[in-house]
Amino acid sequence: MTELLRVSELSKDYLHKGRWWTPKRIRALKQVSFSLKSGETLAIIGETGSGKSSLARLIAGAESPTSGQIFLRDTELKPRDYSYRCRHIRMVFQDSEASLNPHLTIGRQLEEPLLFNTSLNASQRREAVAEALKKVGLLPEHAVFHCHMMSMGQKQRACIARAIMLNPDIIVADEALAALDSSIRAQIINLLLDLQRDMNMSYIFVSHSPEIIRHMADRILVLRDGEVIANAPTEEIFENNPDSYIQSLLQQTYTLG
Amino acid sequence: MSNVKLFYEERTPSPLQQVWRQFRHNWWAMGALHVLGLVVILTLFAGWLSPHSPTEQYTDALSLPPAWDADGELRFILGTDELGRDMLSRILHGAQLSFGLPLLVVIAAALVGMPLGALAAMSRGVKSSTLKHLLDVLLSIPSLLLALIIIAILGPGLSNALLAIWLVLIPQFLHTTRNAIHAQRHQDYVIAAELNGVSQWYLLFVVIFPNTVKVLVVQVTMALSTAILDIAALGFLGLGAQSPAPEWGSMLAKSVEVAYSSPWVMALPGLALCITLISVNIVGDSLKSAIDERIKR
Repeated sequence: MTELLRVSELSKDYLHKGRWWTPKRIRALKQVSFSLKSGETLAIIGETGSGKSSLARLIAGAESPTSGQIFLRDTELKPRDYSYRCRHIRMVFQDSEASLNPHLTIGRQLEEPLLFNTSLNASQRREAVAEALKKVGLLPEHAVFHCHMMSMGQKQRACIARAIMLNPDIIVADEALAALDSSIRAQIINLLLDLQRDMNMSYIFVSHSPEIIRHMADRILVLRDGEVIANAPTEEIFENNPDSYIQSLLQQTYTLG
Repeated sequence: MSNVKLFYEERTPSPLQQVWRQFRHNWWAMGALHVLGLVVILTLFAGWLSPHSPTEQYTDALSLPPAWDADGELRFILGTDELGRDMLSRILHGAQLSFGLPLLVVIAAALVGMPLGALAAMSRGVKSSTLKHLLDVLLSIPSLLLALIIIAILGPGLSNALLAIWLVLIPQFLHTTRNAIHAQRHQDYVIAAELNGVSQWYLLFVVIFPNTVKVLVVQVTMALSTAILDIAALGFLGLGAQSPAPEWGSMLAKSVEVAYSSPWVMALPGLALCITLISVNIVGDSLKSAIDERIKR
């Protein structure tokens, strides 16, 4: 397996309102570096506020880093260069409802990436949308639905369909499973695994649930206060880790996605 | 024969049709819409509909009560004022000044204010925040007061009053549009669309704009009722439309002198103003809740 994504010394600061003219700087990520092989699944874990969501959003391009670079097959991904990035890295948001436009039909939203990044004509686009919907277990008829007509599971499937529209190399999922109940979550996990096998994609996902991580991930990246404290294959981290912080993360019995 | 449909096809109504369906269920809203439609028709065809000239003085019929009164004449259905001018014709022609002109002013202000607001929302940094703070200062002054200041500079008259209200409404539109777009700008679905690689124009017009329509509809109706009220108020104060013009506000001001001897001269323009304003507000409010309902279902 070849190296697909390389993240080098990525940092992110957030500015909070401080006193008068000097905003307070909060470091969410401190020079994070790691790499991802193609077809590999990377789980990012860490306690609340450890920067795992920020890292996911930076990789997907939803935010721009303060410093550091992201390379995809040795090509640098520039922040705000969406047209190149979206053909390779796509994101599935935590809240599927908020990430779908309430005023556009599902079909039009799935069409967006095709409209701006390919030269397909209208009927080809419609076909591609229907195919993507079928791939995620929805019907082509769902293209004319608005987001409020669908159930939570269907919305999440629609979001995944949007993510696979351009046959990306990497899908970033920011706690995409947290809002679903357990049976639907199982369906979505199986769907993600099937899609990975069929389309040979890499996943980067943020999760709290040790079960899901063990089931899906090849590698685990552990974050603490914005720093990487472990980056190793899943078995290694589950079998032998002396660190009490990692142990406490992995031993949580609740399954909140 | 390719367009023969063999199967039952479920058609999803377009967003506009859905809003209309919701709107139609609201009895009050439909009533208000019909009244508003009537006002628009009267405004457009006042010249043909009115039986007399609005300024013609019939010296044989001074202060005549409406036709249903024992002293009334059928010639003047709604009576005449103290100078013998037909009230019905004056009210109808007044609709052009008191409803038609505010409508045009609101449209003109929206055409200037909304694009500027969108520009302010989509830009970031100093440019956008300068605009915002400048507007906050402007908006802290009530619209009528600001219009008075402008008229104090330009001098009284209907065209100056219109210009003043246009200038006052622009920052309101700008501010509302900016805030509405800004509130949507960092929502997940907008970021998702941005990650789809869409252009800025598409992002603004197709992704964000439909979600701000609700706020903008309310703003347009609010602006319309403000404009109607302000034009009438300026007319009443003698700063807007001048005396012979059948503007409802200046008619009210003139009628104060004869309020006891011929109350219909005061009641009719007041009633016209009141009905117009209420129907504008009800239509706007119902439209907003109809758009809300469409999302919720």
